[in-house]
Amino acid sequence: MSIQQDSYFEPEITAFMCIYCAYMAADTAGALRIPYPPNVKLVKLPCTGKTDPRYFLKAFEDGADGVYVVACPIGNCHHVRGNERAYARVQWTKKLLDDVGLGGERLDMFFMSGGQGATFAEVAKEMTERIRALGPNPVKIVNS
Amino acid sequence: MIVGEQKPLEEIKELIGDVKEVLVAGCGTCVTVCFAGGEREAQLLASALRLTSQVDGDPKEVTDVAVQRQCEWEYIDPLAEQIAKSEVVVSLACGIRGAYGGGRQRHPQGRQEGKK
Repeated sequence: MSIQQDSYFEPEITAFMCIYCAYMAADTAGALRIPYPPNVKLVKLPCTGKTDPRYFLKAFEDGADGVYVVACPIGNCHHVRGNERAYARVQWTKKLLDDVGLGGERLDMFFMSGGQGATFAEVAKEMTERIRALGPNPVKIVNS
Repeated sequence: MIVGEQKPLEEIKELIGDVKEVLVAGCGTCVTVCFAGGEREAQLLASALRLTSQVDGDPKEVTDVAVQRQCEWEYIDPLAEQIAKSEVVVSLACGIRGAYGGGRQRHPQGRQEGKK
């Protein structure tokens, strides 16, 4: 954990987003000039129902300090229940991350509609601060 | 049909022990349809083992593979080379695979090198 203690830690965060509400919320944040941390890298998916625990683990293996999923509000998924399926997968993976030793709090899921640009920015800030407090991904420290 | 159930990660870690090269082998039949040991589960377990070994400070080389059926020689024969390269095979298939002894009987090379 010397990286965390010796220098200011800038987390690398991967966000899986559906192309409907979530990506539109990101677009709205941009259109309204609402700033959000550049630590978040967005991955566009046709629906969050496309997410898979393998995607999350791969992101952590590749050095992400945190991962989150952004989906349409429950009941408003364009593919009816894709976001509910994604939520179940996120919950399952959080438990696996606890078992692995990385900590389930490094993974989370948020729901928002296309007009909620401010919420999108708020979530990006929240996750950045949370991961900064947790420190770097231990896997990255071992490999560095 | 045989129904499979995943073991806890902690138990699998204990079974693997200190070895460095691990092969996780999934099966495409019974354990796939009950989400216990198919290709997807094999990839997930391999990924989880790689992560946990690095978190524990003892990085392991974990690879994964899945075959259509582990209960037929014709399907597991192609795994001989990968089995020979690994120190431990974690089979996610049903007990039939265990009864086949990880393919050792048909592969003297594996037997000579004392594979588990």
